[in-house]
Formats: sequence, structure tokens, C-alpha cells
Amino acid sequence: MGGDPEMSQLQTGEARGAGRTASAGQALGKLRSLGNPKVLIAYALAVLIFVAGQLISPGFGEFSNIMNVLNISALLGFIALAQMLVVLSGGEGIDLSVGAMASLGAVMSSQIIGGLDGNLIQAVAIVLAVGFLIGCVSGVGISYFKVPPLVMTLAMASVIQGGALVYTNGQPKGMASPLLKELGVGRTAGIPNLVWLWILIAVVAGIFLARTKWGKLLYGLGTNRLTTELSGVRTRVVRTIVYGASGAISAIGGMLLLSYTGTAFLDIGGTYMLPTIIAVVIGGISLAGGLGSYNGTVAGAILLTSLSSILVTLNMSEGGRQIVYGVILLLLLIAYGRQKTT
Amino acid sequence: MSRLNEQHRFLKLRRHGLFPIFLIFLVVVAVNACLQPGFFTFDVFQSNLASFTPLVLASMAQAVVILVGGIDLSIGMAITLSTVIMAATMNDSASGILLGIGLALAATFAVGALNGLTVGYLKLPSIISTFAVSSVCYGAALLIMPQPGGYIPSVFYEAYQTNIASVLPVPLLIILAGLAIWGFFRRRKIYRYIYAVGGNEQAAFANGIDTKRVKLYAFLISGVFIVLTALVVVAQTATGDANMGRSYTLNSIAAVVIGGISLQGGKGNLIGAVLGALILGFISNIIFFANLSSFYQDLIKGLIIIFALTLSILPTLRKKALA
Repeated sequence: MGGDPEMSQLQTGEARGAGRTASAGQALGKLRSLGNPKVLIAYALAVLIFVAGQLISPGFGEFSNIMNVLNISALLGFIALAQMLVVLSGGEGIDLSVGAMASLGAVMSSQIIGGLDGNLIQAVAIVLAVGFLIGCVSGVGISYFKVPPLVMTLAMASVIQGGALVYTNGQPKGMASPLLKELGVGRTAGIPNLVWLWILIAVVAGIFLARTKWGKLLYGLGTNRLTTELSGVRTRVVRTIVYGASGAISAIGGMLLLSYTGTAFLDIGGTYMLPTIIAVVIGGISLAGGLGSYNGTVAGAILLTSLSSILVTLNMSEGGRQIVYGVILLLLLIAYGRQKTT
Repeated sequence: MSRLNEQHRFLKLRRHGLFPIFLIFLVVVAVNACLQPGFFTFDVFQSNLASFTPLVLASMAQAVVILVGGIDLSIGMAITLSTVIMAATMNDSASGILLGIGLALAATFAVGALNGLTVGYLKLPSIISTFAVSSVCYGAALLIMPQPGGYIPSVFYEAYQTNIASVLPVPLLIILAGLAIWGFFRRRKIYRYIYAVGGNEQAAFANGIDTKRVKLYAFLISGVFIVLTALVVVAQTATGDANMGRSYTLNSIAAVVIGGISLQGGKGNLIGAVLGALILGFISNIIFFANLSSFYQDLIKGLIIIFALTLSILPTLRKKALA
């Protein structure tokens, strides 16, 4: 039975994690994420999945396959960064439009690029701007009109989806250019280019969150909006910008999806929406906001992707796979996502 | 004197929680009536009603969970699981029909219990734990029926299209039955407990309410509406399909929100959810009859939800500004 050691791992993780998060909550801004047991266990579980996979189906734990899985994890991880910023900012922050936004980013870049490298810069600029603006609209609704983030972004997802349909007339045209495709599927020194990019982004995000004024502002906002407001921060403006940033990042995430698949389809990003939330939670980030780091989200993304990857390898029927995926998610959530209420 | 009284009554009406939703409802109906030929004939009324009913019931299921302060992302797949079970097990005999409905009920309550245990007792955030449960439901539905098919007795779709005493369409009767079920709970403690836990969980707990159990019960009550939805869906489609019910999840949330039920829980009314679902139904009708491309459907739906939300939130903003 490969499941038993996993289970006991989960339980000890929960027991150790509980005491640790309490102290971490007090030490605001001090992020010892690498030492965070939840994050370490998420990484360990991912390793365990590769070991178990290698035993069940030889080749699963080989370097090239691990790199394949990391390549796909990078896509999820990048969009999950957008989700994480919003969750960190607190106030029941959540962005249910990241999937739709990624789809829009993918079809827009596909049509703008049209297979030509020369259009790349233009595509990046337009996709970033559109993503940021749409995100800001959600942000205005949330921070100025007090619409709950869940509904605002859900409705916005519907608007974005509809917008993408109208924009493409139902059939996205164009494709990725050679350079973009090289980014999505090419490798440098044996490691996929997307993974290199992901490492770079993770470092930048880590420095941004832990070392810059803006990063600290985000944690402050997530921990206690009132005190942040009282210390002279215009929290509504900041929150609007956070949703804008989430929009911009997920739209660019859509462009990365395009780089991996070559051509875009309308719902290309839809399947990423809820996994981003789960990756964020597995990564030890509290849905209440103000706590966690991108390193955890990276671990969550890798764990989720390797989990669905091993389920594909197991040669199970689609139905069986969905059940196992759901049950393991529940177990992970029981270990990681319990709310501290009452 | 009587004029004052009338004014007072109008003010009271305006302050009623359902007032903005009812306005939107009237506008949507009016626009629909202009566009859809024969809108006020009985046949059109009946066919509109028949196509809106599944979402109305699904929204009631969603509303119960949202009232208690949760959200249920597994509703669509729970409906699917129920329909697939019915299509796979039913035959024309009465015992076959009862078996199908019984199994669907059992499965739905099992799903509700799983949701209630994970959200209530294990304190998982419902937005992600119900998503995991949704995956389990989808898997089970796929295992039962990898390809669309199955058999639904003709009694179902024939009954769904009949009118009782030729004036009362069965779909309307089903919606009324759903409201009657909620009315049944209205007289019980659990009704107040659901609002109490949704409104302020800590206060409810401090007052001796078993908040965990209330959440579990809310998911189980929601299950009753899920089975009703599934019955209506099979009466409409006459098949089982594991990929059929997905859209109900987000649409039911949208309907509940339009219906003025607070996502924080504890505030709102199931009638609002019914109105919200009807509004969504009329909107897709309008888009169809206005000869707009169906591409615009999502776009317009989203814009209307945002508009409705802002409209329903504005009064509270004004109150805050005055205070």
C-alpha cells in the first residue's frame, strides 16, 4: 500500500503545522517560508509521487518526465501567482476570473501574433494592458462599491468569456510565433525554458513580497485593513491595483499557455481557475489573507500537477481518476486548509 | 391621511430586501414581452416556465447553502450524478422508477453529508472542499455512464408537459412544491438556526447552537432541491449524460446573487433565488429573440449581474455615508 505512508505524513504535517502558523501569524512580514513545514511537506509529497510513479510505471520518475511535469506546473504556478496576490490582500479576496482572463490572454495573443515573431512585443503590451484594465474594473467594484470579491470576479469571468467569444467570433485565429513556441516547449541545458522563466519569476516575486514596500503593504492589507488605512495607506486604491495586477498576470499566463499549446481555443484557461485556489491553499496561504509566500504556491502547483500526472499514468478510467483526484484533494485540504474559526 | 398611509406603504415596500430585484424582474419581463411573439399566451408561458424550472430549483439548492454561510460548487455535478443514476437504473415499471429515484436520493444525500462533514465538522473552506467533492461526483457519474444514454420512462417527460386542470402547468407546480418544502422548514428551529449561523457563526455558537450540525443539515436540505432539479432535468432531456449539469453550479450562484441573498450568509430569501433564476432565464430569452448572436449571452449576463449587484448594494452604501 503506497497510500499509508502518505497518510501518516499528512497527519504529522497537520500537527506540526498548527503550532507553527500561530507563531507565524504574530511575526508579520518575517517569512521563513522555506522552513515552513507545510511547504516542505508539499514538496516531499511531490517527490513521493514521483518515487511511487517510478515504481508503478518505470520512466515516470526519470529526469525528462519530471521536467515535463514541471513544465506544466509552471503554467499553473504562474496563473496561481495572480490568485495568490489577491488572496494575500485579504478582505475575502479571491479571483474567480483568472481562468477566463488566461483564456482571453491566450486567444488575444494568438490573434495578434498570428505566427509572426515581430508581433510579440505588441502582443505582450496589449495583453498586459487589457488584463490590467479589466482587473482594475473588478477592483473598483470590490473596493469602492463593496461588491464581494467572489461574485464580482465571477460576474467578471462571465463578461470576459463573453468578450472573448465576441472578439474571436467563436473561432480563435492565429497561432504562436516560433520564438514564443521555443519558450513554451524548448529546453535550455536540459531544463524547459518555461521552468527557467518560472524560477526567475519566483525569485522576483519572493523579493517583491518580502523586501519591498509594496510587498509589505500587501501583507499589511491582508492582515488588518483598518490599521493599514489608518497608517495613511489609500487601501482602496491599493486593492484596485492588486486586482489589476492579478488580471495582468493571468492574461500573460494565458500567453504562456499559448506558448505551450501553439494554438489557442476559447476555454484554454478555464481548467486552471479552481486549481489555482487549491495550489494557493496547499502552499500554506490562508484564505483569510495576509499569510504565506509564493514559494508555497510553487509547491502547491507542483504537487497538484504531479498528482494529476500520476493519475493519468496509472491507466485508470477517467471516472476513477476524477474520484481519486477529488478524494486526495479533500485529504490535502483536511491537512492544510482548515479554517481557524470559533 | 390615506395618502400618507399609502406613502408609508410605498416606503416600506421600497425598503423591502426584494425591491430592487423585483424591479429588475419587471424590466426583464417587459423587454421579453416586447421581443417574444405571443409572450402572454398560455403556450409560451408554459414553455418558458418549463425551460426555466431546472435553474430555479438548482438556485434554491444553492440558496440554502449560501444562507448558512457556505457556497456549493458541487451542485452541478451532484445534479448530474442524480440524473445519471436515474437514467441508468429506471425502467417503465413503478418499482423501477422508485428504485431510480431512491438511489438518486441516497447518492445526493451522501454527497450532501460529505459536504456537510467537510465544511461543518472539518471546517474546510466550502469554496474549495465542495470543488473536490464535485470532482468525486463527476468521477462517479462517469463510472456509471461513460457515454450519454440510459433510459427515462416516458411518464416523466409526458407528465412534465401536461397542465393540471389545463391551467396549472406541472413545472409551476414543482416550483411551488419546492417553495412549500422550504415553507415546511420555515416553521422549524432549523430555519432560524440556518439564518443564525449564516449571520454570525460565533454568536450562534455562543448561544448554544450546534453550528456544525446546522451546516450539515443545510447541505442535506439543499440535497432535496438537488434531487428535484435532477427529476426535472431528466424529464426535459430524457437521457443521462455525465457532462450535462456543469453549468448549473455557476448559474445558480449567479441567480442567488441577483436574488439579493448575501454571500456572507444569513441574509436573503429563497423567493429572491427564484426571481434571480427567472431573471437569468428571461435574459437568455431576450438575447435569443433580439436576434443577438448567442456569443453575447455570457457578456450580457455578466454585465447584468454586476449591474444588479451595484444596484442592490447602493442603498447600504448611502446609509453608511449618512451614518
